[in-house]
Amino acid sequence: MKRAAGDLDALVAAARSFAAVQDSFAPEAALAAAMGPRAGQEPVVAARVLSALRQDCTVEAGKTERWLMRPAARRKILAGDVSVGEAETPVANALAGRGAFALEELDRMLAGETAPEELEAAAVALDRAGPSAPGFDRLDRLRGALNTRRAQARTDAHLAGGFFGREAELARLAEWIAAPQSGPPMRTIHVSGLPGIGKSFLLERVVQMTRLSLDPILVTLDFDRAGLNVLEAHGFFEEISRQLGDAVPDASAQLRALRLKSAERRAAETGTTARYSVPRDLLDAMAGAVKGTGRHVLVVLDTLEVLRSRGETQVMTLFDRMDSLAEYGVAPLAIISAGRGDALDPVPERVEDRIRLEGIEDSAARLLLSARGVPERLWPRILPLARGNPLLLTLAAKAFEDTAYDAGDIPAGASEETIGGYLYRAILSRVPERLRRIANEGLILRAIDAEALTGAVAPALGLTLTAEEARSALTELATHHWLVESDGAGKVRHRQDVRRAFLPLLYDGTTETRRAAEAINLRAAEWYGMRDPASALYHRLQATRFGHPMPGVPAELAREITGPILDELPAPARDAVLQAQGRRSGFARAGAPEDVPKDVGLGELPLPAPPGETTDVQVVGDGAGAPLADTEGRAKRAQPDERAVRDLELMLEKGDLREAGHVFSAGFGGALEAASPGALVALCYLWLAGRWAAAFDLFRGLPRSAIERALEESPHLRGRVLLEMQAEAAFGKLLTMLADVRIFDLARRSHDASQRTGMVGGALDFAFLAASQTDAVLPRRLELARSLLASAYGATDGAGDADYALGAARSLRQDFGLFHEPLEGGGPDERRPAVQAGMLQALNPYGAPLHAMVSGAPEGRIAAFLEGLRPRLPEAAALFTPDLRGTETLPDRLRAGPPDVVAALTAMGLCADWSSAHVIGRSLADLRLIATSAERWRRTVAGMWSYGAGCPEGWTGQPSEDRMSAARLDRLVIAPDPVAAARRQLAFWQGASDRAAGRFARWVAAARARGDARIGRPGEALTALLGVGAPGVVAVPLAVLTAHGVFLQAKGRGPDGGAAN
Amino acid sequence: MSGSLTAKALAPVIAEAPALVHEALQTLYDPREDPLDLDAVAVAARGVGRTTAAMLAMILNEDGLSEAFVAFLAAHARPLDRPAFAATVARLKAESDAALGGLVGISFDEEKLAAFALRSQSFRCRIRVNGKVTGSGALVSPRLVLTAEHVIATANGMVPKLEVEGPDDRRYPATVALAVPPHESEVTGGLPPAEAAAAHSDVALLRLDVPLGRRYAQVDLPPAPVPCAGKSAFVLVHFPGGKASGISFGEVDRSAAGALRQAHTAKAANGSSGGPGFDAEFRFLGLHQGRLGKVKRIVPFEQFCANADFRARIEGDRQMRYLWSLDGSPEGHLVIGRQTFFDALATIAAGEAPALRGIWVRRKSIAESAGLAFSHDLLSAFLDASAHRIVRLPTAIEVGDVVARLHAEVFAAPPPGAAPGVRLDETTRVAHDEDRARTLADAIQAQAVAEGRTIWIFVENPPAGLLQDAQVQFEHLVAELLVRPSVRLVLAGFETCVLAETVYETVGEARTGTLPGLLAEYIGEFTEADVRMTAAEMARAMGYDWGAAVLARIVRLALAGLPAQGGYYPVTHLGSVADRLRAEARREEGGG
Repeated sequence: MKRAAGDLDALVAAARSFAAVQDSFAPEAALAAAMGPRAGQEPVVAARVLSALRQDCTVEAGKTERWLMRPAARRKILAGDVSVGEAETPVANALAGRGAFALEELDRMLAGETAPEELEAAAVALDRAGPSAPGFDRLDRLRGALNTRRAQARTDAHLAGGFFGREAELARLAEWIAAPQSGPPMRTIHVSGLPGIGKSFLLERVVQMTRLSLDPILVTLDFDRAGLNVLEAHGFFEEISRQLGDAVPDASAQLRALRLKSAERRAAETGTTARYSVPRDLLDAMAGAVKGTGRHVLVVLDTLEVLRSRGETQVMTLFDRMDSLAEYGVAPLAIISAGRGDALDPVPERVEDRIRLEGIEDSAARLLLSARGVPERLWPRILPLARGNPLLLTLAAKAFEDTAYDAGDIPAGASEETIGGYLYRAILSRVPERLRRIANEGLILRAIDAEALTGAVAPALGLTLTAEEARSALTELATHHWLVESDGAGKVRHRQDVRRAFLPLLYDGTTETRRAAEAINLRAAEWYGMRDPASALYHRLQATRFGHPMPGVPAELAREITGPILDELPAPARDAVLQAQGRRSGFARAGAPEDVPKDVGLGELPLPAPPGETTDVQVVGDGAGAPLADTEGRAKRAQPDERAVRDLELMLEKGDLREAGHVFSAGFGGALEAASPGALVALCYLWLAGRWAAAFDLFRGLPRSAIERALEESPHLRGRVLLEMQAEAAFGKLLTMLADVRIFDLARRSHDASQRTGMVGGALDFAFLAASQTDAVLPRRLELARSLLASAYGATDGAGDADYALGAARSLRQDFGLFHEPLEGGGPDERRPAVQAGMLQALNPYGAPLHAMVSGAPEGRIAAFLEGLRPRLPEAAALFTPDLRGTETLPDRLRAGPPDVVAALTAMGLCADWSSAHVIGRSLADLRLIATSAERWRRTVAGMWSYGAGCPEGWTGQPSEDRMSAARLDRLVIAPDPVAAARRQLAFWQGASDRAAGRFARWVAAARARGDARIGRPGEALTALLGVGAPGVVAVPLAVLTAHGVFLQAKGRGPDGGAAN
Repeated sequence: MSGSLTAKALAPVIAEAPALVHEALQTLYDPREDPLDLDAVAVAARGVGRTTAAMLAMILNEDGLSEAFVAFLAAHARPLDRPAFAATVARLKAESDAALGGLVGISFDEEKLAAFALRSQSFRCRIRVNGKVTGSGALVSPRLVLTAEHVIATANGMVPKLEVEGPDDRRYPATVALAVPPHESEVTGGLPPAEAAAAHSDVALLRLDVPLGRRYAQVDLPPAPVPCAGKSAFVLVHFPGGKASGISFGEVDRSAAGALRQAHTAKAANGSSGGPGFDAEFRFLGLHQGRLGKVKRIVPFEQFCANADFRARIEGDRQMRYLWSLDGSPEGHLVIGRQTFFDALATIAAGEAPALRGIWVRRKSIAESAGLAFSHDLLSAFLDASAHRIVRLPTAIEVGDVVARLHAEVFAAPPPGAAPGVRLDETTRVAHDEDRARTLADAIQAQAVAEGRTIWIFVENPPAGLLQDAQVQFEHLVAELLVRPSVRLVLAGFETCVLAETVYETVGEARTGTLPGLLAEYIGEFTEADVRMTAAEMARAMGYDWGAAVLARIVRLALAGLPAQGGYYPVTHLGSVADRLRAEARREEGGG
């Protein structure tokens, strides 16, 4: 129906151009600008012009209708050629760079004490004007200044009423801030106390003080914020960089650009590798920004109890992130924190000092009494009784309103709870009789209205109440402001502090009160029924206190039970709600004794390893190095706590391996029944945590039907893990399984459902591609595997396909500052298959389990080895990937210990090399298993299919050596002293124990036996050595040595003396 | 009846149901290429001292869309001229009572009759062969019209020029999607032999280029035929003599289960053939086939409902899982490379993934903004407005209070103040904002329940970021809205923010997920598979006979010469790919 009206298009364009340089505008003005008098003559055309414009605008309805162009539409239009013309709007001025938008004016604004309103007006206009405006590059700084001023203004306003007392605490905090730390482990002074006691207020005050004295760069992380997630390294550091940019305006544009890059990087990562990605460039830039100012950084961590509620290890991760900041150079850095109760119990070593706020200061208490209009003559009686407790202040003030009240019957030295109880009862006794039980037992309801009163409370208490009486009672109750708050719409709620203090008295009180509480809950559960299902559920959950069965907790309803209401529930009910919400239960929380089955060991879990080999990772906290399965252990099978099983599964679904590890070590203390839900979830954890030996041990105990069942019941987790394990353990058998259409379909669904859980481009992905199915039925996300294999077998028709994997490898290397010299600069030709194979090693998916293994509780020897390797990474590059550039600075770029070294080795393309070389001659069962998989993948990607007979379609021929090893061999052969060079390679990984040398010798012997006389040449030797299972990283130097007639034997056993050492 | 809309008739509906008028204009006009907006019409009308109704009537008449507008309103149970319609219903009621009252004791419920009369105006069609009305039909899916096969048959077997005259009185070219002829013995009033009955059920499905069934109304064919139960009331929707006289009432003899044809007594004439017949509950019974002497008969639904091809075609047309074109035609804006987006929408709309609470559209290259705002158009085009309401929330530095802004967008009113205990001077800013966000999310949920629709919040990317306070508010809003069962979110951009704890990577993952989350869709490139998807969907929807080989050739041609990296094509080439696909479609239609 498009009208052939170039004229109309021109009119619409004119209207859009007009709107783009306005703030909000009257649509009539747009018509006048676009059409002039024609608007009146051709109203239909005018309607069409405005209709087109309306698509790009929002409408502000008021006395007169105003339109405002949408940001994206405005940007699009202003990116073209738009004439500002006569317009005198802020946007037009910004576009013309005139008036307040002249560059010097903007700079003056940024440098001076400009009012936030003025800054905002300028920022809004520049945001609207977009990149065409001359001053647009000042926008980041304006926004930063505006954010900072607003935050400061808010603090100042908050404190405007005065801050009294707490001098000692303030002085301690100020002293701590004035002496920031320069390196890890980062510590905090932690302020704790009850809600409303003034923790955040105290922090605000100290921030205000230090702003004036030290002017630190302030970073505030309030964990009430939904968007703060310490597990998401990119997002977490991006937020900190945002606040740094606000405080250091000159750096804001660069930090923003790097944030965008970091986000793009994050978008490119999926699967397990995404878990350990860190925005290194952004962190470096943040450090640079801080250094440039000469100021130090103050991090304020608030509401930490929310962070801890997400998991016991989250605060650990938070402090690790703080360490990272310091390690990257975002320092000197001081941390202060606040949170209820025991928020930092899991990290006592991070707490420099604790400030416990027991009550509000006397001066503040006086202010509060004054504000509440309590006569001054009562203060001397109230203040000593209340001891700074805000609730007691309120109650005491109310109690002493009756001049006859005598607090003398409160026992001397009574606790705050006891005092509260006395005061509460005293006040309650003055409430008219007919209202008293409603006021008291009504606490059991989340909110009371007349219907709930007559329908639930009254019947349970045996009262008879007409609707009119109920309304009148509520009206009267609403006047008791010390007790309840009214929403003005007929509903009253007990004050939260009153509920917190006195609800437990009803549940833990006399038999009579307990009986009443039970009756009200049962009645309310029934009465709310369909009226308010969440309230009904709440009361059913409360009824479990009295032995009533635990109800099912639907997730949709569970989400409505949060905050203080959740805290009111008994622990088992609270756990049920938390888990239904997808959150961690109270299982294995510090300070909460748990019933962990500790009477039996997990002796069966470790892999029955080759003789002398032990698993390198503890399976349970106290079962390290436990002997292998024994009959006694088998007899005492114990089921883990159901909460622990669900918690573990939840944490794995969320990708929080650290918390999963905590739950696992605390909750899985017994030998597990194979194929029980607990065992399967444990298996998933072990697999994802890189504890493959124990995982395989459980895997072998599974019945045949386990995979199929897991694919059906838990495709996103259990199904995926079992498929991956099957692919690693018996690739051919997996192919046979996939030949069954039903299994194939289940497996495909599982693959599609587990992108965040699974390894990308690993053996499982290759299995799908080898299963000879058409593209239409294959899983959706196989592009990396497809591209890897395209490179591996040198596909010509889809030659472009290899580019996808190469691009991914390049960008992964870039994170570590690694790159290949371009061809024109004398670098290698990236079109050569051997060069590609080397580059693609950066994508070795087994880097992820290695990283997880090292991040958990790494075997000490591995950690020490990796630490020792860090400064030698450039040497590793020179020996094994000589074309790689950027390695000289690599050791300095790594900040986070052994896991970072593993990540760097993967990026360098040495994942299979280091793992398979280091394990030689060592009893490291997990490392051995992962290394085997990594090496098999390496060979395959380098052109040597290593997964048995079932090659993917298109794979023609079967080379006897992989391209990467062949290229390495070529380099060694032409070295000035090939034998010395080969020895250097063999020695590098410090795999040169006696047993390593012995292993080398055995490989050579086996190769000889297999290759007959044909290993006299390096190439033939390489083929033979690879054929007998020597990993490429040693097969290459061994081939050179063998070809040169250098015989390898274990140290001290032969004339050659174990050259590998 | 072109040009018949009047201001007098329009004024009440504009005053009483402006949202419906707005929706009608969105549907009848292309919101991207050729929009007509009620607000804009009102402004233009004010400028010349006219009423909005007068101006709108003038434009609709000028654009030849007055009938379409009326049909749209009718399909949404809103007769334009209520008094006239009430008179029509009264007449129908009298007719039905006269025809049936004495006969089978049936008296229609007036309200149901009125609703059916309105709906029937929006699904009934005339069938034209070589320009002449040859029968009646009904929309049974977005693009398929059900009629009798003999209606489209030509004596000499020549390929006829087929057109369907829709509920809006406009003529649309049609092709034959399915044709099962009558048996030759029927020409003389006989019945097909029992063994040949299935192959001679005299039924046809005609395919339209434009999804009229979505725009107006469709007959919902029952999953199984209504059981036979003797003689009963019969309602025929047809065009006797090609005239829009509407509905006829009579009796149908459904005594014999399995009868190949069933006799009825409703008035019918030439042009009635292919008209759908219904029972007293307005359930579909069969197609009027014709009359021989005084005996009129229908082909009962039992005779063709089991036809697998028939079922598959209707099912295929109804199940829209991918929006390949914004307006459902090859000439519309073709959609390439958004499979994830539509997979997610279809899954959500079908209630197949309760944990999936929306989509997060992320750019692979953040400097590019192509595709973000377009996502809103896709959302509007895909979702049925009767079950989904879309609210667009703009964000930018100027939007300092995101909570207030969203409140205004949903409720057209400023938000209430904060609750006691969480006012700004009583708690931290973060806790204050969290409470406001929670309150608003509760209100939106309640509003969605009250409207009986899912409320979708489409949030536009802020070109240069948000202010810190707004950012915090926004985080809270997303967290709260994500757990409201009747609310869904589409975030466009926001790549540097952490906005949802759970972000699913595939629809499969979301289907099995238990934690409320968003599906990540990455835009900025497209692949050969994406082009194949669009081409295949176009072929399926349009009924092109493109087998695998043809499809492969068309895709290859569409991508020929375009640069790709690793199999990924930059979005800048989407336009030319769309043009090439469109050219193929024209060729298929014989126009190119």
